[in-house]
Amino acid sequence: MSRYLLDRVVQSAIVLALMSFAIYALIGLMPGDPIDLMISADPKMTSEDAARLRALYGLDKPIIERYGNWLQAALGGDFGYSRMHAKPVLDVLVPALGNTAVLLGLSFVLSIAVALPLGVAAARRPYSRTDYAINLFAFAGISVPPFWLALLLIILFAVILGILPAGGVPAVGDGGFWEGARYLVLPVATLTIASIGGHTRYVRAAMLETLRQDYIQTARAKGLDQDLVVYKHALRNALIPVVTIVALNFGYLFSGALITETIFAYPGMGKLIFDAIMANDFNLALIALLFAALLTLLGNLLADIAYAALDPRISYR
Amino acid sequence: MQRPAESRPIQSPAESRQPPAASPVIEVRGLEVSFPSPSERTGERVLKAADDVSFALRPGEVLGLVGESGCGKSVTALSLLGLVPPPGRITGGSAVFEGADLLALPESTLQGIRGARISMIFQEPMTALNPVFTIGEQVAEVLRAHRRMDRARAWRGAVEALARVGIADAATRARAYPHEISGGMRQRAMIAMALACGPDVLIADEPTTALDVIVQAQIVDLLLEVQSATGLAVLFISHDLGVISEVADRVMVMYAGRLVEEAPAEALFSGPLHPYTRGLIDTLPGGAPGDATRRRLPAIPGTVPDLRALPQGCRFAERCPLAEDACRAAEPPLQEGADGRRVACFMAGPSFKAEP
Ligand SMILES: Nc1ncnc2c1ncn2[C@@H]1O[C@H](COP(=O)(O)OP(=O)(O)O)[C@@H](O)[C@H]1O
Ligand SMILES: [Mg+2]
Repeated sequence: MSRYLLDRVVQSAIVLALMSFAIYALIGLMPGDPIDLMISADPKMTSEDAARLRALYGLDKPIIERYGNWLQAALGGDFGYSRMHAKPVLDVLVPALGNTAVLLGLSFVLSIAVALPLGVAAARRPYSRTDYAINLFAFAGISVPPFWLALLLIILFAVILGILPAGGVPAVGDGGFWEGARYLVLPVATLTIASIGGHTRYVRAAMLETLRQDYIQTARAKGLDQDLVVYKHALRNALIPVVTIVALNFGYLFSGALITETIFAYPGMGKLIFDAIMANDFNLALIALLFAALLTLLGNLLADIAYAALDPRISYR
Repeated sequence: MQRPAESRPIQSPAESRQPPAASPVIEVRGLEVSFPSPSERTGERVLKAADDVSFALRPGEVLGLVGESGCGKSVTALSLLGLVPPPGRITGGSAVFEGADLLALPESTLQGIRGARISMIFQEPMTALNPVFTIGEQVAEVLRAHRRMDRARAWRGAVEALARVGIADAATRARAYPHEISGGMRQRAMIAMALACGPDVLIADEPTTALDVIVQAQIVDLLLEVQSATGLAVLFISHDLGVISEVADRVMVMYAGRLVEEAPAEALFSGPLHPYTRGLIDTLPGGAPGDATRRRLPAIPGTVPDLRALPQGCRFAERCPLAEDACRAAEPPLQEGADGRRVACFMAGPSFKAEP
């Protein structure tokens, strides 16, 4: 790996460390701690009991010290135990991460697969009817809030038509690939529609810019076919800014997924984080939030790598 | 595309009587290229970037086209390949190449001609080459498109084409990206690309303008070498009459969308007929190119008129030292004299000619 990317990885690690402290401190500031929960669950508990327990769990120590202890354990691979799920944190986190990856991955691929030809078609004939129609579609997509769209889709397909489940996952034993896929349709559709508009706009803008370049005129003067000029010479250059901005936007996409998951009761990272915070499941909330931050940082790193891979003028040496 | 109804026959009787060697490769008649222009003040709907342009490009010659920036040189050249940038349109005239009118051919037929029979190179080789493909790929692509070569053969052809334009170690250089080689080398790669399919015509639009003086001379030499080796016809465009004087056999002078003078190079430089040509020659520095004492003389006063609001009469009148009332009343037509030279000027009489 080149020097530049190595630097970026180190930077990302530092950012992640700072984030972990910030998240730890913020969770510590939240009203209520595990001992409060025990008090409310056990009316016979005295305040001396509570103080003893606080000392036992180290909750009476200053936040820096508590963070230090947590970090030491975490670096050793011990992320603690999820109280809510009564399982090690990682055992809860991994399946949720997988579910979110499926949701995000599917909707991302679908969104790009639609946005790419739409954006190119719009840029090939700017200010034509086609362009106006595509722009209208894109703006509609951008303007619709995902949570509203999700509710709309639920009302239409689950309530009125009754052909798709409103949310959740197949009941145990009612597995099977197609049954699982049915539960994915609405969340994937929501996320896809929510991101198509933005992606289409990026592709259109980048294509308009590259189609104006001198090398496009050269390509045409060489007698190349129109499609070759557009899809090889122009698109290959337009992809450089598109890939960069899409990778940098990964954080937005991820947070969109979290909201969508909550609405559809989809067992991914969004629901996991939400439930963990609501239940004061500190260990789980902390790691889940950190993973969300990590994924966003990875998106940014990926943007840098893709940028260098797509543009021969950039070399990280 | 609209064409005037009185479109003239493909070959005039005068030319058909000439020996076959002199019959033009491309014959342009009455070319008119218009751009819609949003000028509320004059109420004018279009501007003519090329207005009634007629000329012939003969086989094996280097025909120079000169004029200040914005006079319509590029637009004229691009129209021959059907590459006028929108919203510009060809609104009249014909350009006959091998019996077919280039201005009326469908896009698919033009694609087969571009880069194969008529090639074009541009001013700025850095931006004219695609930054994300190697120069070898960009040359090979032409061979694949026109010669239907497979990848391996096209690559070998590209390396050969690069070697032919004086790129040393072409097999290695072919794998370089445009930003990895020098400006002169980039322009050589452009020329290799243009010549890969052995065209009949090369249009060179300001091919040396973006290069420094020494590289400029090398590229001019290369073009002249290639031209005499292959016998292809070259339309060499430049705003710099100095460069034109080094390459052209015949020179056309363009002003504000119109041809104003055409003559064999020697005759033009020794005795310009149009005051605009005279003005351009006067701005040429004395001494040889590269000479330290060489310096630019003051340019012709004033600027090219706005094509959206052309003056009545001669377009050059407001900058012309010889202009009289007649010049401001009517536009002088481009007329051919007995010596075969053409000029569009009421004042281009013997008295003007006699001036040193
Ligand atoms: N893309 C364009 N849009 C509008 N007008 C243009 C465009 N390209 C050229 N023109 C018009 O055509 C004229 C001639 O341009 P051009 O052929 O590029 O000049 P030259 O090559 O002689 O410098 C310009 O002065 C301008 O008025
Ligand atoms: Mg030009």
